[in-house]
Amino acid sequence: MKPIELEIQGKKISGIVWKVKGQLWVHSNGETYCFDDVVAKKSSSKAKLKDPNLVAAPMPGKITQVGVQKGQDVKAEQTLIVMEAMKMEYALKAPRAAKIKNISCVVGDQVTLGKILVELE
Amino acid sequence: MAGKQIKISKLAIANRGEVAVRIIRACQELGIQTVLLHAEADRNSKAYRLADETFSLGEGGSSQTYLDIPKNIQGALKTGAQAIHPGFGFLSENADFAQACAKVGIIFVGPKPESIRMLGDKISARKILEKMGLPTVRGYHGQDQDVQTLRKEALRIGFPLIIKAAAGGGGRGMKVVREAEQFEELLGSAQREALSGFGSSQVFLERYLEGAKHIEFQIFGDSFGKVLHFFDRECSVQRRHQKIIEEAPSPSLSTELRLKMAETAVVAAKAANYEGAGTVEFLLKDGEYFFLEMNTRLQVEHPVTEAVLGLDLVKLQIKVAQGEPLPFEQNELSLRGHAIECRLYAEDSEQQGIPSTGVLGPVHWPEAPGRRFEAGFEMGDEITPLFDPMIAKIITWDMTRELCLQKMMKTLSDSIIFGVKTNIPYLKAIISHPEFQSGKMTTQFINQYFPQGLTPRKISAELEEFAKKANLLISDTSSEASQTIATQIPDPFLKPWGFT
Repeated sequence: MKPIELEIQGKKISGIVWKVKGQLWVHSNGETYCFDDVVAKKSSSKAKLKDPNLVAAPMPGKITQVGVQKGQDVKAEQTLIVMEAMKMEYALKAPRAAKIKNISCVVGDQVTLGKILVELE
Repeated sequence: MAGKQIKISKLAIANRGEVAVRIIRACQELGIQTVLLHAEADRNSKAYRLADETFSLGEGGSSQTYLDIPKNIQGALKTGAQAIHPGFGFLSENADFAQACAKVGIIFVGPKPESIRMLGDKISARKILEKMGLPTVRGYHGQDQDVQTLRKEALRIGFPLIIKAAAGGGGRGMKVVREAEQFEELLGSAQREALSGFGSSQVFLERYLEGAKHIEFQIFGDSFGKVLHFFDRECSVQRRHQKIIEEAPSPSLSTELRLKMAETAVVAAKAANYEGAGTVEFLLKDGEYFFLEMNTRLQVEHPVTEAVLGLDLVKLQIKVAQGEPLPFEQNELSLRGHAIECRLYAEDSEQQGIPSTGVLGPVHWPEAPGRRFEAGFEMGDEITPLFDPMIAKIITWDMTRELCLQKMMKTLSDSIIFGVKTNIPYLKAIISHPEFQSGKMTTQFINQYFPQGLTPRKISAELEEFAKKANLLISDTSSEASQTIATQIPDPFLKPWGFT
C-alpha cells in the first residue's frame, strides 16, 4: 500500500491506497473505503442488486427454504427464500407487495453472491 | 485430588484462526512443540505458518473437519502429541471429545469429561444450580423435545422467550420469540441452526430478560481442588446474541455486588470439581442477578481479563493440565485499570453486516503501549465463507474506562485492513454512542440503536476526487495479491515520499 497526498480543491487530502483487480482501497482520516466505481468496470452483480424487481443472494450460501411459488401474490416483507451461510439463517424478504414472476432456485442449491433467486413483476 | 505432574512436550491444536495462533504463542513460551490440526481451507493462515507441524483434517466445512472427533484424535496420535487444546467453539465443550482423548491417553486441556457433562450441558447445569438454590431464569430444560411439549412450555414461560441450542453457545441457534404465533417457525429455525452448528437439534427455552446486562465471571480450578475467580467481564453489546465488544471489569458492579457474584460463580465451579478455565454467565437487571449458563472452555474475550490482572490464561490452562497447582491465592489478585476488546469481522457494516469474504490485502496494526492485536490471518490469506469470518481481535488497556475507550477509538481509526470490508465503522459507532460511553448499555443496545446496522457513511466530493486521482497514480497489484506469504509492509504513516 502507498501513502499519497494530493491537493483537492485547495485542501490537502492524504490517504493510504491500494489497488487490486480494479478495486481501489483508500484509508483516509481514520476510515477505510473501497471504490468500485472509480474505475470503469462492470460490476454486474452489484447492478442487479439495485434492481427492485430482483431478489438476489446477498452472500454465498445454501438455499434451505423456498416459501413461495411462481404466480403467487406476496406482501411487503414476506419471507420468500431462506438461505444458510456461516451457520446462520438469513430470511430474504419481498421488498414490496408483488406477484412472483419467476423463481430460479431450489432447496439445496449452493449459490454465489449476487445470484438472482426470485424475480418480481 | 492431585495426580502426578506431566511435562507436555508436544501439543496439538484442534482449532483455527486467531485462537490457534494464541495457543501457539503460549506453547512457544513454554517450550512446547505445536501441531496444527487444520481443515484444507485453512492452509493459508497465520497459525499454519507458525505451527511446528501441521496435520490436515481434509476438505470441507466444520462438520467434516474441526467437529470430527476421530480425525482430530488420529491427527494427535499420528504426530505424537501428548495433549490437545480445543480452543473455543467446535469440540471445546464436547464431553465425548474429552472422553475420547482420555481413552487414548491424550491430555485434554480443559475440564474433565464429567465436569463438561455436568455443566456444559445447559440443561443439566441448570438443574444442579437450581438444586443449590442459585437464582435462575424461568425456563424449560427438559429432554422431551416433542413440538407439542415445547409449545406448552413456551406458553407457561410466557413471552418474550428465547429458544437456545442445548449443545451450543456463541449466539448460534438462538431465537427470540415475542408472540405465540411465531413459536413454531422460530423453533424450526433454531433447531436447524443448532444441528448444523453443534451436531444436535436439542433446544431449551428461557424467559427472555430484556434490558439486562450480561456479566460473566472467569473462574479457574486446578487438580488440587482449588478454584479461584479472576473477576468479571461485561459483554452486553451483542448482535443476534453474538458478542461484539467485551470489557473488564464491568462498569456496573459495586464492590459488594462483584464479590457476591464472584462467590456464587466459585460455588458453582466447586460443585463440579472444576479444573481449568471456565466462565459463569449471569444476567443482571435492577440489581438482581440470575445464573444464565456456565461455559466449560476458554472464551474469546479472555484477553481483557489478562489485561486487568496481568495473567496469561492459556499458559495457565496448560500448566494446570500438566498437573501443576495454581501458583497464587485469591487475595493476591486485584484489578488494575480497564480493558476492552473489539471483535473484528470481515463484513460489510453498511449492508447489515453481511459477510465480506475474500483474499486479505495489506494489513497494518498500529502497535503502541496498551494495544494488543490477536490476528489469525495476514495479507494473501483468504477469509472463507466456510467458517466464522472473524479476522482478529483488538484489545486496549488503560488506567480508566474513559482513557481505555479513547485508546480503542484511536486504534480502530488507525488500523488498516484492505481487501475485505470490516466492521470497524460499526465498532466505532458503538463505542462513541453516549449510552455505551456511560456504561449503562444493556443487551438491548444493538436492537435499540442499530436495528438496521449502520447507515452508509457519506463520501465527500473531495474524497471521491482524491480516489479518482490516486487511482491513476497507483498500479494494480492483482498479481501480488495472489502471493500467500505475508510481506514486509513499510509503515504507512511515514511521510509520503512521492508518487510513482
